[in-house]
Order: sequence, then structure tokens, then C-alpha cells
Amino acid sequence: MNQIRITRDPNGNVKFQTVSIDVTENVFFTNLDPQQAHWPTLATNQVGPAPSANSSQCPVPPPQVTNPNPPPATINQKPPYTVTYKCQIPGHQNEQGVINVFAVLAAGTTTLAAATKGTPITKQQVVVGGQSPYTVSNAQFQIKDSNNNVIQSGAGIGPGLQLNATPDNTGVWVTGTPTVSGTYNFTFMVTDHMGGNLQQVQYSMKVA
Amino acid sequence: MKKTNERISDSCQTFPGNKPETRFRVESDLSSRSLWPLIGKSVVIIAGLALTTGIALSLWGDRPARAQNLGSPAFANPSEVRYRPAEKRLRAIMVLKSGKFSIPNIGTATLRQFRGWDPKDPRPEPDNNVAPGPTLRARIGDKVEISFLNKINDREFAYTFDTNSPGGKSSFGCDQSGTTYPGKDLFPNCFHGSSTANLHFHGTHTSPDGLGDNVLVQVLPQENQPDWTRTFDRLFNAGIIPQRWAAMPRDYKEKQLEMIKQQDADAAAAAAGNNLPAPQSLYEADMKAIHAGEWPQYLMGAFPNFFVIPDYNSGRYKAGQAPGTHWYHAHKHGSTSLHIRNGLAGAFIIESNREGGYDHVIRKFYGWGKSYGDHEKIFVFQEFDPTANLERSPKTPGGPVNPGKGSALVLVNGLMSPTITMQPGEVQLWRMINATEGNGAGVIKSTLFQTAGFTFKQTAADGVQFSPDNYANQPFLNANAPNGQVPGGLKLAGGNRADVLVQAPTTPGVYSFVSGATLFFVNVVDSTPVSYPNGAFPTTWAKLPKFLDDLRKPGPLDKPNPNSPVKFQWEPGRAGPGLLPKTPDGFPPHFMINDKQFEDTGPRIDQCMPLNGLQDWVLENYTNVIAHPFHIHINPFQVLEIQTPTAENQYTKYTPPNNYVWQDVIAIPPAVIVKDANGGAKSITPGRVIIRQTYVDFIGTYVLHCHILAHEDRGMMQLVRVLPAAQYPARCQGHIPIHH
Repeated sequence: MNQIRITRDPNGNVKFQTVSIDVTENVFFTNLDPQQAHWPTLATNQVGPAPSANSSQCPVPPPQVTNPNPPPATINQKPPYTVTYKCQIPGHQNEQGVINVFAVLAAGTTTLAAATKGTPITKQQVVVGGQSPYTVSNAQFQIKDSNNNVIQSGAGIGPGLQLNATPDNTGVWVTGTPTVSGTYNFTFMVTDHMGGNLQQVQYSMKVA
Repeated sequence: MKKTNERISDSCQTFPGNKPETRFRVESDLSSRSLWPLIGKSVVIIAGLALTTGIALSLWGDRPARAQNLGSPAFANPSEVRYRPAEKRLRAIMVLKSGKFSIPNIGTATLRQFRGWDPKDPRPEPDNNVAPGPTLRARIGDKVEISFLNKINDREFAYTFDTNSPGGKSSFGCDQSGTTYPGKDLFPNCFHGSSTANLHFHGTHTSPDGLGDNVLVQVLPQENQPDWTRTFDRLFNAGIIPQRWAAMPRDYKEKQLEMIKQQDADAAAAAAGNNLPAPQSLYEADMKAIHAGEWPQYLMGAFPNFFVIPDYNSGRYKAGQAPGTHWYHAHKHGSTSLHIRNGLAGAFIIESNREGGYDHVIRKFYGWGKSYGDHEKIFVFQEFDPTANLERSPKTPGGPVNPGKGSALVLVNGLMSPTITMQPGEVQLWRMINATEGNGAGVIKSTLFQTAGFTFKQTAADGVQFSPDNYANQPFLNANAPNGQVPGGLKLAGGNRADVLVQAPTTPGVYSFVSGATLFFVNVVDSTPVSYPNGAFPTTWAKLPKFLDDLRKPGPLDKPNPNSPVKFQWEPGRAGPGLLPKTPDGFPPHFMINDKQFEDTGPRIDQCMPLNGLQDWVLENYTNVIAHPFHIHINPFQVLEIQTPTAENQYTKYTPPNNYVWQDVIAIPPAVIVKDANGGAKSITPGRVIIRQTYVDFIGTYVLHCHILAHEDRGMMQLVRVLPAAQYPARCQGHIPIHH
């Protein structure tokens, strides 16, 4: 549940706090507008009773809030996408708010394609969804031989491999050139700009 | 002058949090040596379990279960507020705060959280990770003195409010969530008032009224509140527990009524802003209760919970408090579900106070001294979700509800799949509390106690120690128990607890403990096995206090319960869960007991019993698929019989002849429903449980309900009253405040 705070700027324009959510989340409004004790009905995208001087009782499913006006019944876009909405205060109909909608932060490929020692791998996506910037931390790895014995372990995702966080909301990728033969097992934690996090996902890659 | 950390009200906006140093950290050994065989299935369950000596699930192999715990955090007990030994009291400040908290593997969410501390200690540093409330630890005979402060900032949440409106009339008062909710739900059996709260001390035997285990009091949010330090200190230090509102401190009474009156005005303004009429006056409801000699139900911000943990040996009680693993959680009707999903729960450990008692026997046997230290592990199983089921938007407009981001992730003490480190052969006491909402992944499965290589010896159920015979026979863990194994083995429905002595295998490795998913790991390190000269488990078990002996069979002079069986039901015509197309409104089930929802026909006592009454009750489940966990406050019960339907009019029965297990939550097996040609119910063969209970020491009004808490919020609850025998049954329906 995310909150859109409604205020006015010094020029008297209605301002909506922009929020970013994933597609599973709702939003609700809190009216902090000192000039409007009772917020009027929102335009076109109203789903429940109007927001109030305290807080709104109308969590708005974002797929039902959109631009252009009037909105389609549903949004069949694949996230990320942006939806907008307007209010109906006389003289302020063009002032609008924005909700940025992203896919849920989730694991991508967990069993990575087999690789060869000393040969660059094809980059593979290990985290999908979410909003950049991403922060990767607490990476740990173990490499096991064919007898299931751990032959190397430590911080990171293994010798020669790197995690690359994208700047364009397209997740986290693995690149590099493995330098040890065996099965790389690794995990890490990733957080995104919305505050989502993903952790303890177990990834593996065989290196011949 | 008081130290600032003793103040129980402040204007500080920070979040009192768990002190990292107060957690008992167990470092995980991630060395390569201890993490051999890793990738693969997380647990190997070997068929044909050989149970030895009635205690062990001895799934022994040459190799440990294959497990992977890369990235697993070290297990940590919750922070703790411990009794003051010399003062024979547990004193705590329990703050209910709101803000942004991080849920492992989910993300940041706006939640309500408990944080607590003993006011003689420094206030914990602020934190932003989800966690259960602090463990409260007291002894039999101690006074419990808790300053409960509801400092939620309700502007951080979607509009939700309290009203004293009549039940079953309209949806006014119910939360509104756009396209999904409230549907056909009617107040008060709908989600509402989620910034209002209280404390339920689940498993305690104490007064249900006044300052005791009073779940009918409603403490409204007040972020900035008066400083109640002196008022509550004086109250607690006087040592006399007020039994009537009139005996409460004058400044508290006057200020509370003044504030609740102002709350009425503020609430009216907020409602108008939401295009709603003003809520029914809470002040008027309070005054009506006060004039009737009752406790007011609605209070602002602060409430002093103050009660004694009854000591049977004092001679003042017919029954005492059983020492064991109990817990506390918020219990505001309409919001118990959301509150438990916000994590508003914590362990309440009550220890024995004399030699021969439960804790004394365990600690003495192992030489653990006067406290358990690192030998004790407390597991508060929780799911964290910022939004209640049904209040989320549909996955697609008109489609099923969104399952929620945290609904399927069961955390341990706010940690995702933590790792406990044990020495080979080491024994620890594990105290487990199912503080989830109680459905789906929230049912803790018996697989948790089938981890290969480990030996389990259950010592208590629902915080009540086993009898010596049950300790020897292990009715939940032993398929060959003399009185039969409890159906389903040891699993924990919502609200259930189990105390289990656990011995690690001698083979090093990482082991998974699985209930659907891996809830936690144990890393058995490679070192010299721990040896116990007198055996791994006590052979001489703690003697049962007399009040825990089997209750006698009710005789002709014992008044039976006229309202038994207690039937857990859906609305008429429904033959299955979910959004059934055949149901009248296409809405999820409505939850009922004995043909009605909670107070939907107005204030009414549904179950009335005389003090010292002794009764057998039949509990029946007329819904299929779902095993409703029956819970009643104040007095535990003994389970005499479990009838599990297998087909139409056919059952398997568990009927131990004696040594009945005490519980306060029992999952009633689901019914078998045969459908007619239209998809309706042609016949219902209900699941059935027979319990025996006695109502001693305390009169008052409390509740029974389903411990799948969304069911409770949506109507599956009854009002219960115990009266002096001389007033029974004439006064059963005496003054009954509306309890919303």
C-alpha cells in the first residue's frame, strides 16, 4: 500500500506526490491541501469515496487509473508503464498526478547455462522487475567439485563472474569469465529503488 | 527526577526497536567444511519411520539432509523483557508504532509494529526491520505491569475508523478498498478500525475484564499523547489491581473521557472528508458502560495492563497458570487479521517458580543454571503483509484477489530461513509459536519435526506441560503411542505452541526444517559431540500440578452447555471455499458459529457458564477443506476425542482413555460435503472434537473464535461470559456493551 500525498505549491497549483509501485500494490491518497478541507471527486479514475482531510478510504488499483481520459477498462500493458490521473477542482483540471508501475522484483534464471573455464559466458539475467537503481550486497559463493566437495568459497559470486545492475529497470545480469572448474553456487541480496528486496535465491552454474 | 528512559510517553518520533545486542545471536558457520552436500532437495523424508522409545523420529542415515543455506542469516531470539526477580514483577512499556519497515524478500512496507522494553533499561535504538514484539518473560506468581501505548500515526494508512454502530445492519464502519471490499460484509464482521488495538495474552489464566486479558477494550491511536509515566507508575507501585473503572486513577479517568469526547469530534470531521456520516459516538458508549458499572470500551492511546499470574500453590486459586510458552497479540475485532500480518505478536514465556516445576526440572537435568541462555530457542512464526486478504485489488479487474506479497512467506523472528548452529549431539529447548494468520502456508506442518537425524521430545502443548505419561509416550510424535497418535502428528495451527527438546545428530552438516518451504536451517558443526552423562533427555519428568490432572467427567449436578455443539459454518447453501459461481453473491464465504455472525443480531452472550462449572463441549466443523482452529480465552481445555470424517457419515476417531492433552487451540477437522446436482450441499458430515473444560477463578466476559484470524474478523466469534454460580443463568444477558 502506497500513499499519494496531495498538497499545493506556492502558486496555488495542486501537487500530487509521484509514487512508484509494483503491479501487485495499491495506492491511497492523503490530502494535505490546506485550501481544500474536503477533496472533490477525482476525475475519471475514482474508485472509492473521495480522499479526505485525513486520509483516503479509496485504495486505487493502479490498472484502473490511466491517461488518456477516459481510461480503458483495463490496462494490458506490460510493466513498466506510467499512469496519470487528474482532479476536478475548478480551475485545476489540468493538474495531474503520476503513478509509475513496475514488474515485481523477482528471480530470473537460477540455473545458468553451462560454461567453460576461461571462456566468457553469455550474459544472463538473474533478477527481473523492480525499479533501478538496484543495490547488490551480501554476495556469497561456493564452488564444488564433481564429488560434491566444496573447493572454494567466499564473498562475491565466484572467481571471474560479476553481477551487473542495470540503470534502466531491467534487472541484474551475470557476466564474466569463470576461472575455476566445478559448480558455482551463489546467492546475493538485491534491493531496488521502491524498497523491494530479493534474497537467498540459490543460483548455480556448471563450469567445465 | 526520573530518567528519560523511564518515561512512558514522549514526543520523540523515532521507533523504539529491538536492540541487536539483546538478541542471542548464533553465528552460522559458512565454512566449506560445514556446508558439504549442498544443492539438491532440501530434506529427505524416509518412509517407514522407526520410532524408538516413543520419543524419536529417528531418520538416521550416513549423510545429513542435503541443504543449502548460502545467504541465511544467523538465528536470533527476539529481544526480551525479563521479570525483575527481587520485585516479583514483569514491567514493560509496549509501544505500538507505525512506519516503514523492511520485510525480508519482500521489501519496504508501511506497517504497525510492537517495540518494548523494561523502563529501568535504556530504550532500544530505532530500527526498520520487521520483528515480533519483545519476548515477555515472567514467573508464576509475578505481577504483569505493561504500559500499552498505541502511538500509531493513522495518517500513514488508508482511512479506517471505529464506530459504535449496531451490528448486522449495514457496511458503515467497514473499510472500503475500491473494487473488492467490503462486498457483502456487514459491520462489525468486516475489516475495520485497524489503527485501534489492544493486547491479548494468549494462554494466560487471568481476569478477562478490567486490566487483565481484556480484548474488549479498544485503545485508539494517539501518536502524541499525554505523559502517563507518573500515573501508571503510581498505579503499578501501589500493587493493588483496580477491579472497577471507578478505582482507576482519577487523572486517567478524567483525561480519557475528555479525549474520547474530542475523538468523536475529530472522527466526525474525518468521516465528512470521506463523504461519510459521522461514526456513532464512542464517548456515549463509554458513558453508558460506566453508568452500568462496566469498564468503558474505548480509550485513547494508553492502557495499563495489570494482572497477576496465578500461583496454584498460593492456595488462592482453584487452577493456576501453567508455566510454558504462551504469547501475546493484538486482538481488536475487525483487525486481528491485518494486525497479525503486520507482525503484532510476541512470545510470553511463563516460567515455574519452584523446584520440581517445569523449567526447574529441565534446567536442572542439563545443568543450565537459573536461565536457559543459548540453550533455548524461541520461534515466533509470522507472515508479514501490509494489506489484508480481500482488501487488495484483484489481480485483474473482477478477478480473484491478489494473494498478497508476504502471504506465503513464513519468517522466524522476522528472519527469512535463519540458521541455528548446534554442536553434534547437543540438546536445546525449542519453543515454537504459530503467530501466523493460520491458513495456507501459515499452518506449520508435521514435516518440521521429521528432519532426518534429529531427535524430538515434546514437553508441552500450548504452554501446558505434558503429564509424565504423555512425556514418555509422546502422543503427537509417536505413531505407536499407547493411547494412539494425535491425528496429523505434531503440527501447529494458528495460535498453537509446542515446546520440544531437540537433539542434533552427530553427523556434521546443514539440515533443513521444512513446512512447505524451508523455515530454518540447523548447521551441525564438525566438533566433538556433546555428551550427557544422564542421557539426552530427562527420564524423570516434572510432576503435574494437581490442577492439570485429568478433569473428572461431568456429573448430574454439573450444568451442561445448552449451546453445544458449537458449529463452525459458512452461510447456508455454500458447499466449498472460494468465489463460487453458485453462491448467492459471488463473494468469499461468510464465517459463522451456530447460524450467526458475531453480534450480528445485536449484543448477545452466546456462551454463558457458571463459575466452577465443568462441561464437555462438542465442536463441529461444517465447512470442507478448512480445519478451523477453535480458541477460547482464559481457561484451557482438555481434548477428549477427535473425529475426522473420511467419507459421508464415516469417521476415524482418536479417543485416548486418559492423559488428555491440555490445549487452548484445537483445529477441528474439515467436513466431508457431498454436493447435489446444483453444486449445493446434499449432505455434510462435520468434523468433530470433544473437549472438557472448567471455568474457575475468574468471572467476566471474553470470547471464543476461529484462530484463522480473517475468519474471526469476518464473524466466526462468540461472546462468552462466566458468572457467579448464584447468578447463573439469570444474569447471562445482563448489560452487554457492543463489542466492536
